[in-house]
Amino acid sequence: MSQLRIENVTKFYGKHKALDSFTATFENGIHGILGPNGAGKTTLINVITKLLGASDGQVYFDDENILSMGRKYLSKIGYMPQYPQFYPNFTAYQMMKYMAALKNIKDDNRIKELLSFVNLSNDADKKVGAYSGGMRQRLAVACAMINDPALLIFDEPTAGLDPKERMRFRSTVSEIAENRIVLISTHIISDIEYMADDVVLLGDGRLMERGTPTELCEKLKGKVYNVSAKTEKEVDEASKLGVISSISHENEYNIRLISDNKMPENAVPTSPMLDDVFLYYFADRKE
Amino acid sequence: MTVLKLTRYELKKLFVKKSFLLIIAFMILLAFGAYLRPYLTNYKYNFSGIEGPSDLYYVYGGELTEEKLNTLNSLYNYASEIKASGVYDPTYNPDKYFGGYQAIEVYAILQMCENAERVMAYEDYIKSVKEQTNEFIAENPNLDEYMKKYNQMIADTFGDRKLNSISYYDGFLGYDGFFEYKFSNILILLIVVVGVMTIFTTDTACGCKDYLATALHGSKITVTSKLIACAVFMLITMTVFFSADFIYFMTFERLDGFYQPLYYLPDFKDTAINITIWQYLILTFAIRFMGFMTIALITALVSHITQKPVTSFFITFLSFFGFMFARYLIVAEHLSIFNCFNPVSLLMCHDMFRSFNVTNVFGTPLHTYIVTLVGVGIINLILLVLLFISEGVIAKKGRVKNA
Repeated sequence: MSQLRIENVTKFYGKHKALDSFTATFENGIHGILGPNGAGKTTLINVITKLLGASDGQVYFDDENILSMGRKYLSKIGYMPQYPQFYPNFTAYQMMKYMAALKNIKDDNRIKELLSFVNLSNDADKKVGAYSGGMRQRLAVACAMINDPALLIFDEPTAGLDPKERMRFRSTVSEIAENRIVLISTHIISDIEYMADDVVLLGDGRLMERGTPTELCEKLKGKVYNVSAKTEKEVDEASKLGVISSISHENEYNIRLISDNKMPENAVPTSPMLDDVFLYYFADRKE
Repeated sequence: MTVLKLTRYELKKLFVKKSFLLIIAFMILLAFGAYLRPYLTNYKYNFSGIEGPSDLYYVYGGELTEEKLNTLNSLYNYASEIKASGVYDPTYNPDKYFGGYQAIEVYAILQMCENAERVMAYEDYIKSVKEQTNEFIAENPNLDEYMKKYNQMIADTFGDRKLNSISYYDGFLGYDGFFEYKFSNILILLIVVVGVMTIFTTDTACGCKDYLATALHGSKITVTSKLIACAVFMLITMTVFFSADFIYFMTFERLDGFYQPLYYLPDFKDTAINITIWQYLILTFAIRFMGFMTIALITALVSHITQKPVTSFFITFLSFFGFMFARYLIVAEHLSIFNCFNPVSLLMCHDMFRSFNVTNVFGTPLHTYIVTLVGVGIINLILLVLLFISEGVIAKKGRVKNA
């Protein structure tokens, strides 16, 4: 069982504090890092992958400081950046061979297996420049997996993908998550709902809350309501009571509201969803 | 093995792409344009002007035996007579005259006899140099150590030099033109700089630098493979242009006598090296490679630090012009050591070998070409070290400037 331990990691960009004493431990399984834009997700990922140095704090992998591990640490991680790019004049096979050489993997069969796993065997000899967004993303997953890493990190992995590709990614990640730590940094809630065993809510560089999707929703029990309103004025009045999660309009306005406050009699409590959790913690924050 | 594997991919990344291949093709066309200039300008280029004289050497060239000398004597008398008369057969008769015309034949014979005379006189010339050197040492018993060593060097280097054969040399075209031809140097310089300036920025431009940064061999081993790719690329470029120049000069200006010692060529009669002309061609190729490596390393270093290919392009060319000016401005002997650290000295290496050039290194006379090779080698080593230090600093600090 591998373990990634992040202790009091802080990162400043000039005077701006992008990460604020972030502390968390991750073990095998799929962990979602959920937060709005500017929350510090990518900064956290960059610190974990050593793309960035922390201003303070330490990161340990299997109880060893990743800085003192040197390049040995990189042999244990696989990273898929947001909007993965490749050398346009390389074919997928050449790109995989290049990544294998970079990661000191000598087994050619592994390349073929991975290309087959991500459904790119038939397109392996095409230049990556001609690939669609979904194909690039699948190739990026294969590249990240080439060294069979103990720690797999995806940064906004489904950004720009159509629903079909998104579904394909979710099932791929579920298959590869066994016996490794998988971190998925995203602001797309449905990805987390489908994939993550554990969710870390990151806001303003701080860990706001953590738990399974069910636990997080459970914490919001009694705070999510359906409220009806007949006029726009009533909708305005309702918005002052809490955060509006959604409004639908047929004969009247049906408002989904999140609030810590006492609600009017016509407010009907309802089961919280992860979207509500996201809005509860982040709706007032700047984006 | 990993370095070699990665070098292959670096070569593919940088140089095997349409835009770059188009640039190379354009440069090669420029080179051919330069070759064809005599044909494109408005004078008639008569092949027989070269073929005739050089063919003479196939018949009368080679080792100067007693018999050959007698034959050359007769030819000389014949040619002198015609020249003195000023009357030449105007008819074109390639079966009768070397080069088709009597005037060409006469000129060629006189040239050939002049070469033979020079060859015969060379041994005496060397003897007189050694005698003068020895006399100088004998007449100046209080010579300082440096001068003693310097004069001893002359005696040792010239040793038992002699020439005993003639091969085609006309004193204008051929080797003189070949060694003076610098247009290819400019093209190679442009190609190398344009190729190398993206060596550390192409990963960023293609959005792939994070793969390198998070890979086991993505740092110093990748830098090593990039530098090897750069050297391989330069070798290929130099070989292409050198071969093209060589083929052109061989075909249209007849390079001959590759087996002759370098000092056979009049410009190199006092050269400090005792090697054949073909060995000299290889040596100067290697020397120029070293000089171009300096330029390439400057480009690579600036590209790595700034991550801006255009900046590295301009800084490299500014550096190159700086080196050029320094090369020509520094003429005082006590400052000549600085030219030994100047890569332009290697790019224009023929100047170093034309005479017995020596540099004072801490009171010891050393051949200038050796000192320059070491000097530029030190510069290259410094540039390499700076590159790896820069890579280490970036890897430690992290590669991302802003989230």
